[in-house]
Amino acid sequence: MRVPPGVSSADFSAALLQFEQAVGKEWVFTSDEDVALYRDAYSPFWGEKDEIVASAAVAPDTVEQVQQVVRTANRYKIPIYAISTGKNLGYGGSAPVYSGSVVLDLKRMNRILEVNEKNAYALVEPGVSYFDLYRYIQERGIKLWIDVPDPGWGSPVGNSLDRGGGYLMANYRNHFDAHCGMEVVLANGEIIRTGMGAMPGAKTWQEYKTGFGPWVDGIFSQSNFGVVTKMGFWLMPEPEAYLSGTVYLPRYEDLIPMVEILNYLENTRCTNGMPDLGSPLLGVGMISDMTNGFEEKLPARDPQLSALIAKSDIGKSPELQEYALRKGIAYWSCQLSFYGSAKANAANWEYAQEKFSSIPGAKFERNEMYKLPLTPEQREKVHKPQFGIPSLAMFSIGARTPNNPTPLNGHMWFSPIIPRTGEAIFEANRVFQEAAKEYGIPVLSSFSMPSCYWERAFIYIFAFPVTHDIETNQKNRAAFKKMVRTAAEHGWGEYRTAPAFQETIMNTYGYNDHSLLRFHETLKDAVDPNGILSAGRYGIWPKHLREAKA
Amino acid sequence: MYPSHTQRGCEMTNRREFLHLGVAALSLPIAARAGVSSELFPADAQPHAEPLYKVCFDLRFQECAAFADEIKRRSIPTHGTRGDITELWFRDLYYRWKKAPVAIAGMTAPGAIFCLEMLAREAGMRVALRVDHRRLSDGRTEHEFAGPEEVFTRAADAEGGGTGLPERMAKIVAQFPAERGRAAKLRFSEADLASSNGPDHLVTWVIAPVQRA
Repeated sequence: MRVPPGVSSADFSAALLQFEQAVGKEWVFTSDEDVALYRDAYSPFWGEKDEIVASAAVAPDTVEQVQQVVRTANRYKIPIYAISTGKNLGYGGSAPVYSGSVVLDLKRMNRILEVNEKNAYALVEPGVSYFDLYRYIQERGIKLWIDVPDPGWGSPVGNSLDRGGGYLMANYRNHFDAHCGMEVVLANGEIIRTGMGAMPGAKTWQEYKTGFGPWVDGIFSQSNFGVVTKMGFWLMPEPEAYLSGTVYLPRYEDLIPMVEILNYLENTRCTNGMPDLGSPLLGVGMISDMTNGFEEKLPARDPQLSALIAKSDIGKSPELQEYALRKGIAYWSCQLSFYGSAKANAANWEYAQEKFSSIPGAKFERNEMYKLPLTPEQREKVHKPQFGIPSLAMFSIGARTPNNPTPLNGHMWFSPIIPRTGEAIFEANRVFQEAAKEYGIPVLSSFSMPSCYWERAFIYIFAFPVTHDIETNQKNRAAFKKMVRTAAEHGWGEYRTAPAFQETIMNTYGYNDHSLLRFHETLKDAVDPNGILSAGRYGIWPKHLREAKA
Repeated sequence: MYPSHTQRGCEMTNRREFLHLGVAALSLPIAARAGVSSELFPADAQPHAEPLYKVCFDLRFQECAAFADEIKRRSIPTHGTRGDITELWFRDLYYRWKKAPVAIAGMTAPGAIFCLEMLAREAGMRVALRVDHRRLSDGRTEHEFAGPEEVFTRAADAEGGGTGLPERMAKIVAQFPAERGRAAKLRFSEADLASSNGPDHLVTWVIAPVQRA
């Protein structure tokens, strides 16, 4: 049996015994076979001695059991690492950041405590998955949608604490922003409730976020200051209808006004679904096409176009522009989606066309219009998360198909946030293409479009592959870190990352001699003086480990 | 447009390309991979077969369809997917496994077994047999077995055994023992019996309730 670093075998044995007394013997896992299940399935250290592994796992069923486990951990200074469902693949999975930690597996805490249809919210425990919540709502015929990430087997609590996103209206698809109220077990075993939940008998815990005084919810996301044991979420009332329409623009420079108009339409709530950007000319597909993109063979590209793209300056050249105009192929596309009444959707789409018509040559195409709920046939055709339906379909692309001739073996996400401007898209393409070339990373396409998960900024989400080849993984990890630094030099920070890179990224947030990190550390030392909770998560290390590293 | 196989390992794609082009899920190693042996042991007795609730196959691939035909011939229920196991799990396995863990098997692309393995864990089950079939660049197919020793005799019989790969795998799955011995591992290759436009990588697998000593 592996023992956590800095802990004696005797203390660890005593702690395990107390864990067993707290949660039941069958819910403390110490065998190699069981503990191996907590390895990160996409670990970039696969097969290396540096792979981060747990020493044991303990799975409480109630908040009282969490308190007991935390108190025991404090007594024996056992590092514990809380997970909800442990499915954030590409961002660390269920493995701890500090090797040898005991995983505090909250999957058994899977109660849906309340779904309020009238006021459109839910209160859930961390082990509830998106599938669980969806099933609960469907089985009861509740007319609410949940906003799900892709894939949807994770936990609303875990995903929002990692600040993940989905596909519905902006105020729901930012999962942390959509939460309302938390219950947290602190390192000393004490429970706090945030927002209105701090008032005994509060009637609006899931309806009013901030309560009274400092609003502390944010410090429990992407951090290690407590164990969140309950969380409220605002859900989206099922809309009457859905409409999508695509704008096509003919010229390279149109990207700049396209983004400006898009921002206006989104920030005034004319369009309320997630926008989806593409480039028909450069072969950048849209996310919404992915459902039928797994198997259907991509149309063969005109060799002349391929040659022009290859010769272009990151997607720009007079010859390419002339080709696009001559062939009538749009340089850029922007799909808008609308949730609401059929009449309002039609009117908003008409208004959006009016605004985009200020760009010469703009063309429009109305796509799907669904009266909701979807019929079973419609369900099969759509990208399900855009309709609040959890899915694992993205894993079906792990096979070789016409569009996927050489499947990969897992990935690590590189996810920089850039400004929501066309200029930033051009600049990011130049910077990342040049950096990839310098660092020896082959890049698949000649141009990349960002995603619009967040309403006020773009995000690029690049997949660095994980392989079974140690040398390749080492090379990719080094390149990943270089890309992080390159992005930071241009003012672009990552929104989230796998444990292997959390410290690197936290160090890029270094304004005023890392004053923010030092503030995090001050908080950490105050609320968790023994440093037992999720050491190292998001680059925040407890005092004794900071001193050991110094 | 696509780089060569050797380049692929260090290529950076963005999420859109990832979604369009795909990645193969990397499975956690089953416990069998610890302390494995490549020795072959003769089966000392015909074990009782593990009852299979359902056998999953990938409708997109000819090999999987042939595997399913052979399974159906043995009157074992099958379920075809196009790679996405969401509906199978959400509408069927979830409820069945709530009652009690029960074994399933399949021949699928790696993504399907990856998902089912993760979901099955929460129902008290583990991958008990995994056979990766990978097409090699020399035209042969490599089989990598990880599972109970006693199954390996049949696996070894499968090498150049005359009948097709899907039929041989169906037999191994259908006769998968309920009581299983020590885990072991085996790798061999044979002339490519797969269809010329078949997938690079398929997996034959059995997920079964955990056996505790």
